[in-house]
Amino acid sequence: MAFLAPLALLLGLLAVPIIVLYMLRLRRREVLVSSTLLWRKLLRDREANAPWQRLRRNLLLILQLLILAALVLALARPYLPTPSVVSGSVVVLLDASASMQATDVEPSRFEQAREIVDEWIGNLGGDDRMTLILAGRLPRVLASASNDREALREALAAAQPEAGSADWPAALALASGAAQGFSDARIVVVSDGGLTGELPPLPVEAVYVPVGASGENLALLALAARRIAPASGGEQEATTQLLAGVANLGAETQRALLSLELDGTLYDSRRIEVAPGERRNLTWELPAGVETVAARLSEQSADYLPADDQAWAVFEGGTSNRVLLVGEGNRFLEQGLAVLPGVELFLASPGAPLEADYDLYVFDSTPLPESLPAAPLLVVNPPADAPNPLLEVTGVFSNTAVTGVAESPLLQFVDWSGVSVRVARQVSAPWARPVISAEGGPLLLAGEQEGRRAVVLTFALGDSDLPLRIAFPVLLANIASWLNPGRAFDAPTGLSPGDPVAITPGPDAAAVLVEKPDGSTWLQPVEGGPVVFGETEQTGLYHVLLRTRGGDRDAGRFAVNLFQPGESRLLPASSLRLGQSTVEQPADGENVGQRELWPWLAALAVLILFVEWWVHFRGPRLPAIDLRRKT
Amino acid sequence: MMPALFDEAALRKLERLTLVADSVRVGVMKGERRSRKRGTSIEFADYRDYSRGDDLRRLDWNVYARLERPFIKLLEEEEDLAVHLLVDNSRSMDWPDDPEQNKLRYALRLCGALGYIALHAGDQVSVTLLDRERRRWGPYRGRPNSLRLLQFLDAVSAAGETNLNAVLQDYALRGGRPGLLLLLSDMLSPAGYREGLNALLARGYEVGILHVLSPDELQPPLAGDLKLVDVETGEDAEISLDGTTLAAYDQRLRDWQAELASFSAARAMHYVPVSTGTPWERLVLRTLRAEGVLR
Repeated sequence: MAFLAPLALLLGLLAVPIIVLYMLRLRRREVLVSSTLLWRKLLRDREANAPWQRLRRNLLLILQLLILAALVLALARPYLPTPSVVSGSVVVLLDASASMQATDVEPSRFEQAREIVDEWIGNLGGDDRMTLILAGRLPRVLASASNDREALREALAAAQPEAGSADWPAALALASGAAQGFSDARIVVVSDGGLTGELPPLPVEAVYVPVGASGENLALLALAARRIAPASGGEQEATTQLLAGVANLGAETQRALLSLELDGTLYDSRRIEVAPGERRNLTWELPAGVETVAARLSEQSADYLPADDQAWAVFEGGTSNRVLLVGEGNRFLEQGLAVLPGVELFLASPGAPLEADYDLYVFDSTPLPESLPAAPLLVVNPPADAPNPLLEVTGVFSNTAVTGVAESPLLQFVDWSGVSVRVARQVSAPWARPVISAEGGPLLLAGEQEGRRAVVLTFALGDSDLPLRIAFPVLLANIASWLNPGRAFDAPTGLSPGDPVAITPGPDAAAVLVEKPDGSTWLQPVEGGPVVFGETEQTGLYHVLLRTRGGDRDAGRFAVNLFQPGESRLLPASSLRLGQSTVEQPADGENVGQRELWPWLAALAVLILFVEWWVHFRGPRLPAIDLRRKT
Repeated sequence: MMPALFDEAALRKLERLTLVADSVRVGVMKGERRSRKRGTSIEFADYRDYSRGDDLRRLDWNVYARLERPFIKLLEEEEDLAVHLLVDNSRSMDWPDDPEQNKLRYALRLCGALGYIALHAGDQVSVTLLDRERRRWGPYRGRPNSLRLLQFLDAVSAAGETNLNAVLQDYALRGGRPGLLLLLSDMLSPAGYREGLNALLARGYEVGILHVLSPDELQPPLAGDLKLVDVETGEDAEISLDGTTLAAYDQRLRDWQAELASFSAARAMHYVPVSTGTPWERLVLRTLRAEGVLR
């Protein structure tokens, strides 16, 4: 124990006036009495009963001197040296990346880091300030330059590890900012060392406190599927090949069971053995029609991170848009459709039998078949002579001056003003709504018939200058996306925890519903434009539903996986490399904190003050009770 | 300057006592009193059956002639009573300053009243002061002496210390004819009183203690850190008085009185605790009679 302000001990000299005052006070008033006989007996009695009675008056003096001693000691600010890296202004960076969930230390690395920081908070001195930063995907300041232990503990208790990797450059930048303005600032990184990214040098002293013990981990680092097109001319269907990558990031050979589930049903299990540092790729040929795949590692010999023992994959279902164009050949239409993203265009001659598995049928100046395919239709310039269930051509008209343009998603960004049409066909289709009307009749109709969407362009492209206009590709793109909305979101296979997903709901969707892997749901009303879903902290399969007037419509799934070797590599680093400098862990005894004791001494002084008050006014009751017992 | 011990008011009270003096006697057997011993006087007391060896001169022949049974005639032995009044005039008795509550004045008035009654009843009265000089008045007999008694008492003042044991043992030796002895004292004698009282009892005295204490001794009006100085010995005692200590003092005082009372009861002595706050004539007329000191 030592003192921060030893000069205050001189105040102990105040004991002298106290003692002097006491001696003055002890000059008693003299009173004549007839006899002191009884009083002497009384004094003898009391002293015999309570030997300390003689000390009674001195007891007050002793108590007062004790109070003085406690107060003087408090003013001298004694402290106990505590082994702590925390003193002065300290910025604590708490790693919240996925590897901190490893269980090689009880109960987990993050909990241990939390305990370490909690102990520091308990050891905070009176002038110490602590800033607490949680280094996650989005680093955030939990508590800023605070000395309030309760607030710090509360902030610490609210911190949770995340499933992804941490943004260390941002976290370190935040820490540098927090350390500015303090002369004695110091940055403490509590982590297992899996720091990634371009790390900036730190402006102040930095200390690295490692967490974790072991690096044993068997991780699924890849799960990908691709459709292999059939060999040219072959008749067999396209097959799906699945690739799973298992890596042993530890130091011992690992054995495990890798099981594969297709759409929730166990499909295959393989026993694998992976040498240290080795990465094994396993492949499967999967049957067609599989939507989701889950791979799971189990029965490992040693594995401290459960988060990377599972992986999921979702099939895109091959090409998203297969379009069949039936017609004599129209270069404008072919080009216009072929350049649409995701569209795979197929051509067919009029009259040829229609294959059924296309996502969109385009009929260009050809008679419609009697039985229409159950897919969206784009009909361009329907001929007059063929009966069909969709529409009836009643004649032609040439007065094509535009009289009305309806509000429609088909006409988004379409400038129709300069388009001229030579001649168009008169079409009667009660299910359809005219989108562009001319004096003689509608030029563009759209509607839904028997559950399928259809768009009718009542003129031949060759009879107008539309293909030469900017409006044409835009119109085609609008028509294609309206007829076949496709996937509502764009989720590449490599989604990591925390990555946002933009969901583009169709025009009819009122809300977007996302079912998370743990069963909870996320609901966001659509207010035009895409919806961003950011709560992808969990790994697993997410199911997207579009809520429309007619009920919830399945819009597909996407998978979030922890395919990050940096997080799966668990072995704690012994030092960190930041910029040009290396941050080492502190040596024992090098960092000494100060735990000040004055609040306890002040509390003790108050306590003794109460005792002194009680002794002075009430006095101990015991001797009186003893006297009464004698009778 | 103290007012006269027996002022006009006190004398009037004595006069009233004289009116009742016929019925008030000092002592259990007192004044023109009958002795317990059956004696040879002419006063008839009782008859009893004759037994062999009895003096035939005391046989009541008249009764024998009438009843033909022998009866011995018991006669009372008559004697006057020696009344010893012992007044403790040590300095501790000269307390407090208030003349109405002063223990010595109270004791002297009491002494005067008792002596007055005894003289009127025809008893032999002697008054002794228990100071070092041990001045003594009497023994005298007869009513004319009452005025002289009062004059003697009026001249008494407090002096010196009293060792009760010593003076009582001394009095037992040379006090004269044993009789009723009334001790008027505050009993505040550091040396104690037991041996002295025992010596008196051994000599055949019938002892009564009038324990005179003033109200401020019974309930001291004191508080705080004090140095108490003994007016008699000059010794001091340092004490800090609070509620607890005063309660202990009160307890101690009552223990002391109880101890005196039990000591007296065990020896057939009369013990009367007297507070000087009580009017002395009431004490004479009521309390002492109730206690059996007067009859």
